Amino acid sequence: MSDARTTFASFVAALGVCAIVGGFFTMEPAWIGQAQQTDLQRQRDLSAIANAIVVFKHKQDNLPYDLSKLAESPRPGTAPLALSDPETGQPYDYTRVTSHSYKLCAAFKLETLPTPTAPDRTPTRGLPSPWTHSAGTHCFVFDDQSTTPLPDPTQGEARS
Amino acid sequence: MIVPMRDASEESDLAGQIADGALVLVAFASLRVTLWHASVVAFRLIDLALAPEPLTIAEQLNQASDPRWSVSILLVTLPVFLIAFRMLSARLENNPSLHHGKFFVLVLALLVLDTIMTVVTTIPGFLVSFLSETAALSSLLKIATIATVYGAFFAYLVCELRLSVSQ
Repeated sequence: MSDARTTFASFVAALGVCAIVGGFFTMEPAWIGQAQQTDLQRQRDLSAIANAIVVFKHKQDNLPYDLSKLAESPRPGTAPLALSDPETGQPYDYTRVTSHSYKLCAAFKLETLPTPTAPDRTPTRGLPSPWTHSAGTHCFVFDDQSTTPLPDPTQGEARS
Repeated sequence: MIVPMRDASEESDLAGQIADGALVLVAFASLRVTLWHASVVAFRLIDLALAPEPLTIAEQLNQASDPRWSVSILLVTLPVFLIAFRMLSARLENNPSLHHGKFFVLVLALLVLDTIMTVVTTIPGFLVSFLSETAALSSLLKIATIATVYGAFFAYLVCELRLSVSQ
């Protein structure tokens, strides 16, 4: 092999080996992807429950006292409500706060990732999604008219 | 009608040329893919190293795309390149006619063009980020990565082309 070829082949070999080692080092562990999917399912479940509560409130003119009442209420054309955690099977925690508001809690594996913000969209910075949560048990407060949580005044504080 | 007949030596010569051509294509195609995916992994390392503020592990791991594809591709293309390139080098030393053959020169010229196009189309994107100061240091490092990787490739190609033309 000529000198130029030997040098270049050595350079590519070193680059390739470093890239493979670096790639393995930065690979996302499989459990993170699974945990993200499960957290997303928890969020979907809570959203569906909040939706069912709005319908329940319109029909009964009152918030349910527990989630089992919600499951008993007929909801034609909709999928059965998932009232328990997809991983642990523990029922989601539901508490009436007032006659017009309630909170739903779930245990999340991961903290919500920040929504990517483009430089030209600075006005939206500092206004997190209402579904933003920390890792661990997190409660969302809802009013009886909306299926999205109310802004959380304690957001940003660590919870466990 | 007279049909030109090929003798055995012409046929074996043709088979040899096809084999050499295939070797050149395999070596340079695997090289091109290796360089690209090595750069992709390098960009991910830069992004992770220069996260703007302390992030949770999940946030850091989501800053860039998952490198599984790039690593898997590198695990295949790097050995293929090293074997094919070694065989090609041996062939070039034993058979100088391959070195100044039209096909080899054409492949080298196309790779030079491809390298220039890659650099010209990739670097401006990072320059915009660098000048707008959104990710100045990481953009600078990515430009340096491209310059090093493709600069080395370009220098090698020019060196090989010079040898081909001078022979």
